[in-house]
Amino acid sequence: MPPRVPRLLICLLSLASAGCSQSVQVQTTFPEPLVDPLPVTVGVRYTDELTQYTYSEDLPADGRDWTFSLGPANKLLFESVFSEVFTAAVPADTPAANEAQAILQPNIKAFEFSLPRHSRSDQYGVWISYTVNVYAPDGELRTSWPVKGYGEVDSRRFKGNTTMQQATVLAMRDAATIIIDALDRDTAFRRAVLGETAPAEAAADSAGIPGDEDPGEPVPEVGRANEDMPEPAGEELNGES
Amino acid sequence: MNLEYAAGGRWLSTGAVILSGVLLGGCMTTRVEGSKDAATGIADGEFIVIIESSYHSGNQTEDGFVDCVTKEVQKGSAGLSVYPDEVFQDDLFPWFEPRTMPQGPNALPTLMEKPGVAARIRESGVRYIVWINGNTERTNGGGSLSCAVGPGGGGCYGLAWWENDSSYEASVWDIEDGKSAGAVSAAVRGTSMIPAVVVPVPLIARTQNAACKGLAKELRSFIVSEEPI
Repeated sequence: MPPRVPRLLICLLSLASAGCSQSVQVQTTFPEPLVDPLPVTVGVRYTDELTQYTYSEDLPADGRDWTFSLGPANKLLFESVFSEVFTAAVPADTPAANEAQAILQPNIKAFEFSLPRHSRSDQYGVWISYTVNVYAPDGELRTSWPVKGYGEVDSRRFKGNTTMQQATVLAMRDAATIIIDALDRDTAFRRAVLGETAPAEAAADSAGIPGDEDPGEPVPEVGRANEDMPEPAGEELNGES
Repeated sequence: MNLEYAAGGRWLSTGAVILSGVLLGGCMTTRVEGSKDAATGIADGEFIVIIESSYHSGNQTEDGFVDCVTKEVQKGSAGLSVYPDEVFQDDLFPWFEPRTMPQGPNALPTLMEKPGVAARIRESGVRYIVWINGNTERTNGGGSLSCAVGPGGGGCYGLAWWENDSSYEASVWDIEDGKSAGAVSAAVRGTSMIPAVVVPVPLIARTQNAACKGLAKELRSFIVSEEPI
């Protein structure tokens, strides 16, 4: 037997035993938000957990394991948002941050996805849970604002992993939308960033934006394929009611 | 000689059945309607933008349908100029994202008051926003079809059928006037079937395609014509 044949066999066998691997690399840019910046300078702290974030999950029933790499895209997302919604957003560990009225630290808490067979639809869906911690310049935590972005894309729209990649990008854009919208209105998040004292009725103002009812709301365990995720229909839009 | 003739005749008749199946397609009924709330019309250099309504509100319009309507309305001498929806959404980020997009024409004035929004839309040249709602569903089906292969050949016998319902609406908002101009809708119901006597003959009712063409044609005349529909 020529040596090429056993090598081919070994390769095929190893492929069969490893299953099919799906790698989703999120490489994108985000549009500049069309907003008037808040008159405030903030310092921003990016953790390695956020900027190097990857999520992997093996789906035995699907015969595939999925790996999502969205660390660099996470940083681009928050840089794009913060640089436009504030007068200035500077790295928290530089002297420029001495002038900051607040320090922001975005974190990623959970990642979930669903395949069309999970939702019994033609949609690939992605949920990403972030929190944005807002600290006073002296380091005191003012609030921890939860943000849960959702994106879905028709499975017939793109080929291969591009569909899941686009769903992830939409979920990240959705998270950015929630943050911008919360800063555009009188929310506890905005007041925390501006260092304003919350009025007595502040507790009511976070109702409506999915995920921000309670800053301490437990989020799902980091990463799992969302086999029983409900449809997004019925979510209240535009945040506060 | 006779055998050859018979075999040739069978192939001819089979070919004729397949050809007629392809040509005939399935059976469809189509209803296209329009309802105008205000005078329309579009000038040179003005665009429309076609956006599917938000999935956050439960809308499940297929991306392919929006692409189809976008292509169809640009065809012909009365074709409309369409502004790319993704560019429009990026230009106005985040106010036309699925979570924040206006849910009705009543939301237009508030949206236009947001910093930079009115100017950005004016720069784009977009005069009308067209919101697409609806989807295609399989509503019924039945029958049975079985195929078998043996040493002497193979074939299929039986009849399978299904019914598709494509129902879409395009709501037209006039940015210049800041209100709804009206809506056009297309509803297509079609029955597809696959009868098989040795060779299956698919008779497919392309309801979504018919709805796309019907809606796009009506949308063109809705916007271009200054007369009431």
